Amino acid sequence: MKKNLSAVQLDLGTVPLIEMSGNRRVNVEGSTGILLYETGNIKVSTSRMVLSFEGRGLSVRCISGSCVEIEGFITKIEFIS
Amino acid sequence: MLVGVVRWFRGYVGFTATGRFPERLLNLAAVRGVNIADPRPVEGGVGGIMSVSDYRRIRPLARRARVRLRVNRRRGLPFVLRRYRGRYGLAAGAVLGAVAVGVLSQFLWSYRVLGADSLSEQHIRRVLAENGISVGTYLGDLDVEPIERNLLRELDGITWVSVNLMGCTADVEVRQKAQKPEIQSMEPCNVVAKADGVITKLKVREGFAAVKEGSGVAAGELIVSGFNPTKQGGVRYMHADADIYADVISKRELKILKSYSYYSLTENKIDRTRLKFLWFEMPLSLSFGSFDHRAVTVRDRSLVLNGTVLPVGTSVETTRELEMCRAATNEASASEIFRNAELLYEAFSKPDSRPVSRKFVVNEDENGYSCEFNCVFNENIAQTAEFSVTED
Repeated sequence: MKKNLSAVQLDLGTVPLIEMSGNRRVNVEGSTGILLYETGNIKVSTSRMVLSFEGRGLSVRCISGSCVEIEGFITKIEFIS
Repeated sequence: MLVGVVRWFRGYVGFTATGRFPERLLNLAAVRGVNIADPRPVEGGVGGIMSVSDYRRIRPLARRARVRLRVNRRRGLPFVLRRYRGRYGLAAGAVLGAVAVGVLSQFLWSYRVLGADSLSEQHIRRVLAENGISVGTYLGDLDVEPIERNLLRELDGITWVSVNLMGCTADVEVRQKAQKPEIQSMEPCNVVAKADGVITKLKVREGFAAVKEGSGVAAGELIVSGFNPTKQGGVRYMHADADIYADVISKRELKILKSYSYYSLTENKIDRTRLKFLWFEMPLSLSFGSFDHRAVTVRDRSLVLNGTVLPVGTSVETTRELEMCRAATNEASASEIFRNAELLYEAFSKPDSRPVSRKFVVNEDENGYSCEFNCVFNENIAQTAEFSVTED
């Protein structure tokens, strides 16, 4: 039981935190960079996986060292590991 | 909005980065703390805007990301200033303009007087000047409340005054006293004759006529009585009211000299124009001439911009020469003068009267001419005469 709890805590500290406002805005915390930037597809790299956002009119509103905010009409989210 | 203003003052460039790894440029810039605003994908790369200082910092990053940077547009204050570098006059003018605006905004440029319909605006302006409100007054010295109190004390015929300062201009609003309405007295009274005459028409609205049409009356004689004897032997008093038209004889005498002198304007004049700026005045024209006898008129004009009267204007002082003229009168011209004088007398002194007959005789003596007017006017001679009633 104690071992399982520590495993969960470890995961929460390293996995990206994704916050969505409907399908119009996504805030990804814990990103390590943008891998692909197109209006129809944005791929964001994190420590564990790559997040792929597909949609229309996608754009990066804000980017910092560990945070990316994406805006647009999101139709699909893919977790690539 | 605020971010845009700050960005404009710091200066910014719009750029595109094209090459092999444009996304890497975004990542490197984010890690190095370089702000790229409005990043957007373009053909073969990414675009965005950033401050001028940040653009210098991302050149090594572009080489690492193997992209080529191209500046699309330059905006902001640094680029505007660069366009005018070397033109020191512009900078000096801007500084002087700012100083002029700062200094001039401390003074009163102009003021209006509102609501003085039947009062003399010149008189109000004179009183305002005595109390410290005039063009060029330092606004810091203006204390409105005591000025308003003084104006109320010194200006007759006003009940309320307000001095409203609006930037460098002021509106002085005054409210005149309301005129007392004429209250028709209903006290018992008679109607008596105002002048001697022969009555031509009686129009009695209240009371009992004591005379008839065609009667001759003397001034002060009773025409319409306010006493009404009742059948029971008592008396009822009323407010007699009537229009009494009568032919009234008017006699007047006028005299004029055979020769007299007067001052007349000639064509000679001198214009002196002065430039006015706040309280400063500077002559714009040099005219040293003068006349022994002169009449002076001053015409002020102010510059108006977008409805605001500016403290800049001109004052033109026109001095006209007066010359002494001598005139001689003969009998014909004297008659003409007397006739015109009579017509003016009728028009202005007896506007409600109708002339019935007009006769005048011109006499000549050693000094001049005299004229005896003997006219008859048909006019209303009714005059109320109140009486007091005491009961025993």
